[in-house]
Amino acid sequence: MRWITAILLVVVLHGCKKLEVDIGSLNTNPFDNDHTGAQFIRVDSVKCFPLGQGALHQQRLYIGLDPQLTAENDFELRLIELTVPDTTVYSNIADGATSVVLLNQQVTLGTEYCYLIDLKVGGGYLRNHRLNHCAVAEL
Amino acid sequence: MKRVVVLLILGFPCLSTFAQKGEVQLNVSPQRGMEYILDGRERLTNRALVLPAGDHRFTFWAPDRRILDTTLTIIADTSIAFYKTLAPTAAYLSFQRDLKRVKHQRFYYRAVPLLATVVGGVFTLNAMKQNNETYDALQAAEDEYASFRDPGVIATHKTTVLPRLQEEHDAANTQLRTTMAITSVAALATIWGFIKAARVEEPTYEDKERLRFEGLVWLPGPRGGSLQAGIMYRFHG
Repeated sequence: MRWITAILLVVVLHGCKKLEVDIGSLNTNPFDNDHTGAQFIRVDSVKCFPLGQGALHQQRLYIGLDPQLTAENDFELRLIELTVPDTTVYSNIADGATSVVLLNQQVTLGTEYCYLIDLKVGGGYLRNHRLNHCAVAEL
Repeated sequence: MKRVVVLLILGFPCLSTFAQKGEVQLNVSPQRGMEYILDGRERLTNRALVLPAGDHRFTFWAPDRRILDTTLTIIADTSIAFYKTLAPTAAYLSFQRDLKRVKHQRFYYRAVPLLATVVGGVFTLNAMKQNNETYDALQAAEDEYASFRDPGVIATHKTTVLPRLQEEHDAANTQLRTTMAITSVAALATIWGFIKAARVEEPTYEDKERLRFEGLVWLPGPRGGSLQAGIMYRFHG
């Protein structure tokens, strides 16, 4: 009788199992906009180069890419230059690339340029991976 | 001529004795256990009798039946059939009613909660199945979250899919707990019902007509018969 009661109790407790998913704190996926971990992209460096013989210069932003991002995803980067302003989308990034160079074609030396760099994976931009970076154009 | 007259006078009693007997067939229901006392003297069970013509007193009795005291007139050289159904005694009818009531009472004490337990058990099993299914679906959706690579899909998953599955699981779990509670109550009621049914007191019955019927009567037998006295004692179990 005691065994039957024990077995019934186990069955009942097992049958009554309840799962509570805390959706609010679900943010472990790095592709989730609520993810708070390390970013997929980073600004490694910003350099300025002269364009031909004139006074025109080009500012290059060297963006490092997380291997987790490039391993199996189609993604694109959007560079928003806030000073002019201007927007450029970089979509054809080679598979497995560990870095990418974003360009601001015309800069004036001594001027500070601010950029927003957005990462788009699949159907949406990852707000939490947005970079906000400012750099003075200098050789 | 004188001899003939003498023979007639001597033979008349013999002739008249033969001529004045008749037969009676007793078809008294119920046949099982039916007994009768003939002319207040002999206690018999046989269904056919040859008796001298004239009135004979029969006292019929069968278990749980009322005594029927009647006089049958036997007609010489004639076979008559007597049909009668002995009516049950009022005490027996009352006992039967009480017994039926007790049986019904026991049946309801046992059957109603047992039925509720069985039905509740079926509902509980069904609810358990649903709870497990929704649990697994929610668990799978939670695991699936980690595999997504599209922020849009993840957003939809978190705002639509997971809340819906959680809601379904919560509803199934609530239903399961409710059915389990009801089934538990029904199971307890079943135990109580069986105990209660076992404690329902059965009515007792004493066949008083039998006591009336019993008495000192002459029971004929092959060696001349014997005096019979009857006594009845009901053992209560």
